[in-house]
Amino acid sequence: MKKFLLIWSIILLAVIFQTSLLAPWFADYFYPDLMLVFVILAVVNFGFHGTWIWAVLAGFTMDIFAYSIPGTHVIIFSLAAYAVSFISWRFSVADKGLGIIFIIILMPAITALDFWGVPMLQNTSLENRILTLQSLYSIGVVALENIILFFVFYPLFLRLKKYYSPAQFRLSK
Amino acid sequence: MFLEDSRICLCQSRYSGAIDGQIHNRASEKRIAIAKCLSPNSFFMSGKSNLFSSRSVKVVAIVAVAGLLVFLNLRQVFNPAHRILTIAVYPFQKFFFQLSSSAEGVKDFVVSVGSLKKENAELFEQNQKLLVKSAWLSGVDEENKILREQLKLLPLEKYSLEGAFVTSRDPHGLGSWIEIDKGENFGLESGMPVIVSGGILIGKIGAVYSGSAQVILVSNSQSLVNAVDVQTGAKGIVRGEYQLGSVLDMVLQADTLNVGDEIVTAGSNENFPKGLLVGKVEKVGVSGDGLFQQALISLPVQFFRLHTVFVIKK
Repeated sequence: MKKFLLIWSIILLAVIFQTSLLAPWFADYFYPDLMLVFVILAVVNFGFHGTWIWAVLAGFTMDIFAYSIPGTHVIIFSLAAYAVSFISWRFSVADKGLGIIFIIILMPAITALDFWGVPMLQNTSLENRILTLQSLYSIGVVALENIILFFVFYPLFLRLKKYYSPAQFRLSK
Repeated sequence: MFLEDSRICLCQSRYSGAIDGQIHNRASEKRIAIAKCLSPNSFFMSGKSNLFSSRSVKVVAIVAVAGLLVFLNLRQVFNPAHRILTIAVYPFQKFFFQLSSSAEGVKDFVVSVGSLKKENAELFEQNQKLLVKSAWLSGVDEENKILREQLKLLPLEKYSLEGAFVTSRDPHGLGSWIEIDKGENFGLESGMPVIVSGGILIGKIGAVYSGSAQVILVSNSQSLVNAVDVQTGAKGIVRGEYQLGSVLDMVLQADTLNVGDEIVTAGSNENFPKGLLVGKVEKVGVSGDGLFQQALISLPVQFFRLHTVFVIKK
């Protein structure tokens, strides 16, 4: 229970950061997606099996605070977590030391999934779906910001890893 | 070679989900994992495909369940959770929003420091023009009073206004909604118009909770407002176009629309009083089917810079 509350508090704080701090701070610019970066960081450090349940919870929390249809961000975060997990194994990035390049390449794709996926799932009419699609330029800018955030928060997750093993992050024992 | 690699990958994932997906895990951990999995008794050696590994199954299950939730659109089910969470996190939201607002000036200064000289020259030139315009406006002021009288605009004193602070906004940068810190506890109801000082319409109340409410901005595609051109009397419907702003649509071909005309609410919506400023005509065109005129409206307020708004209760 203590573990659940702790991790959920971090998720809540990240969502509040996203909607009440980053959104007004980057008001007239494109701003990074902190929750998505946290999900990727969690998968990178603790593995898919240790974090998928938290990605689902983060998705529901984000849906509640972003006034989006429940389930929208769950799909996006789960697919992002799976993509990071899947590709990182297939290309053995850890052994080849290509982790940084891997993240730089993968981040725009995941950002595009987030920025295109949410309006696609949210809107009922095709016209609105097309209207709300972000441009490649804006996705590029946000992806760059996400990459910067990733490396800013990476040491924090490494520190977390010292205190909690991936197995401890699993909800079920 | 590929098969061997995939076996190793699956092997690793089966050995321990804990290290699954790590980029920076230690190579030694991996080697141990691989060695354990490639033992003759390993499940892998049976040659079964890893196509339906537990990871894939989990993701498919999550996406299927979440997809069903999206399809069913169970917002109402999640409303109690929203109510509780909003109350719990409100102090944090307000603190962070104020922190962000106070830091906004610093950010703007840093961003604009290079262009200060150029801006200064532009401001000097603008000042000269404004002096001329000011003299002209004093004459127009009287004319404006007459026009307002004709339109029977409601004076702001007659509205029952409820002031509210903005606590959060659309996290996807679409600028389609903001959240305010007052809700049912202050008598707010869905559909009530939201304005900023001077009677400028910014949107209407969407979802309402006990201590918070969502404001659907006029730039949101869900927003539809009956409006009228002050100068020509042309009537139409203002609808949101997300980042493009708003569009005055359904204007008859026989009506006149001019660039610079002021668009105000027509008052035929249930809750919207007449005469709230929506914006100015920026560009005039024809609708896709060619039946109506359309006008792109430049909105007088930058929604992302709003800190306080007013809800018209009556």
